Amino acid sequence: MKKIFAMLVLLVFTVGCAKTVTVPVPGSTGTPDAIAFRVAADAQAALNSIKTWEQCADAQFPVTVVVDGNAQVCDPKAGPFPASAVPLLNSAITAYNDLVAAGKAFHDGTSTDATGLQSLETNLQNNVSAAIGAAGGK
Amino acid sequence: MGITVLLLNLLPMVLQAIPGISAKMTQLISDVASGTSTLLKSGVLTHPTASTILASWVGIISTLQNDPSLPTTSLQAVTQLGKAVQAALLQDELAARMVDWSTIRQMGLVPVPALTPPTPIKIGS
Repeated sequence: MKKIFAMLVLLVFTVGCAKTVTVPVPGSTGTPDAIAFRVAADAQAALNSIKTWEQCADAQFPVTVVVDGNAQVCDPKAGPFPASAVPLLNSAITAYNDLVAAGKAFHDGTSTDATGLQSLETNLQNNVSAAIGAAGGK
Repeated sequence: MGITVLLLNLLPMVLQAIPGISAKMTQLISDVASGTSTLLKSGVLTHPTASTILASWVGIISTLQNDPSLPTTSLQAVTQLGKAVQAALLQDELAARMVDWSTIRQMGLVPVPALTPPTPIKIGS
């Protein structure tokens, strides 16, 4: 009886002390790689959407436009793209390209600079926010 | 979910910047914004919650679009912003599950539109 009780206490103690284990994201080399990829992927989607709007507006809304090699359908109701937002959009694209280059280098082991990667992620998030805010009229 | 959180925070700011919104709608935007900001700041935002927040903003944008007194250009811009947030949110769900850098490509810059030169002012004859 004492043995069973001791085992139960041990079991409860072990469960109580269990650490939260973060499951690695498949395909990643670790947390910094997974985070960088996620930030880059989100930014790619948001920037592609805004860039499609800009290119459609610039071409007077044809049915489709080619954005970075891919055909994208134009929304004829999108309205004009504010010209003042173009430099900010380009800054965000540059920040995105910087993170993509650093992220790929980190992923394949050419670089080990996790701090630099984090700084590029913050820079990209700020630039995307500024570009999209300007495009939205903020 | 960093970028999507930033963009979800940006939506109410852009909406509130639209000139001519009624006091009732401004109040509604403030109420939704304060309700969602707690969730966004908590750091435990899940995809269904983020999608629900986005859906509430899309609903507000649709309501605003029915107001003929509001500037069409502003509403069109906010709608495009909502689409960008939605695209980022959809991508985020996939990116959280699997890392595949081959899907990430460099982007080209957008040509900056030429500035219209100022009209010369004639002085005298």
